[in-house]
Amino acid sequence: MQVRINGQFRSFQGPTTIEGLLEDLGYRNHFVAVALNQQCIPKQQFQEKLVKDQDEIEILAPMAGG
Amino acid sequence: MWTLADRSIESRLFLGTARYPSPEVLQHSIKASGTNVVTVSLRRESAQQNTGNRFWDYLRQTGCHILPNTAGCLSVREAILTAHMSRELFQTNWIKLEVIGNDDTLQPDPFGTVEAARILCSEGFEVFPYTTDDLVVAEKLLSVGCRIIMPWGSPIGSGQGLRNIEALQTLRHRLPEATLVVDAGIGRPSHAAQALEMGYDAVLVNTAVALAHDPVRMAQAFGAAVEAGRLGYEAGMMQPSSRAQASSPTVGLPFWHQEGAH
Repeated sequence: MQVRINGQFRSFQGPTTIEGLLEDLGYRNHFVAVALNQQCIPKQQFQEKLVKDQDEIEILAPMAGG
Repeated sequence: MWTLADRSIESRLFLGTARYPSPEVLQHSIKASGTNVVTVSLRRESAQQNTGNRFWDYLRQTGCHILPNTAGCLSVREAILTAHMSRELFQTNWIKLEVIGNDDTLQPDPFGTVEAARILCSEGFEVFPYTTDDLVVAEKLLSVGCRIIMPWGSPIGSGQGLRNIEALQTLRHRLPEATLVVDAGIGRPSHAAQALEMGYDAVLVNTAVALAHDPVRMAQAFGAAVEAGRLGYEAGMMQPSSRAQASSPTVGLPFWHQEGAH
């Protein structure tokens, strides 16, 4: 399946969860927030939330800001 | 000590965390400033970068309250999603709301800001809205649930200081219950002192410290400036006069000032 991650399409073996996808991408133990199709997903839902073909995911981390 | 959104804090300086020469300089600047509130943003990160973890570790060590922002958001929807993600990540209901209306001037979109503030306040956020010095917009923000208003002094990062003193004074006079924080455009410590002398509760400074030749000393200077400004405000300042008034007493002047003396 094709999933758009931070603006770029990536191919994955589906179905998977947000947790599985973060693992695959190398985000394990990263301090990040995740949105699925423009909805913020609480961390406790990462294990169960399924990612589908053509979904859009944003992975955001803390950054310096004013 | 003073109260900011139900939390007791000491400093009246909020410090932005961007554009410092290094994370170490940022850390030393935060300490030298005496600030209790630092701002942070959210950005995309690739798995290989992993800079977010390190940055977050630096910030946590400061012990400051974290004020996440929605910088760069151009719509209500983007700002609300960013606020939700910030709350999830930083475990705080504080959000510095920025809905930018013009990419060149970074002027806030007042309509989008009020709408986003309405939604976020109804969801339990403590919204710190970045706005202009317009009284009506500030009143609308208060009416939708904001307790804090953050008007600009001048455009973000411009260092021009308080460009419209009268408008800022009007906000202070007309909104005595609101917590007022000058957000943008402060370029030097005297600008910060000026805002505090006017009765503003605090200022948020970033670029003026980060781009100084010596950011750590500048951070210290800003810490001292807000303290001086606030003390001056609390002490009650004299009203300016159009005429000179001798400060030395006129009674007992020596003989050569007396009429008819030669």
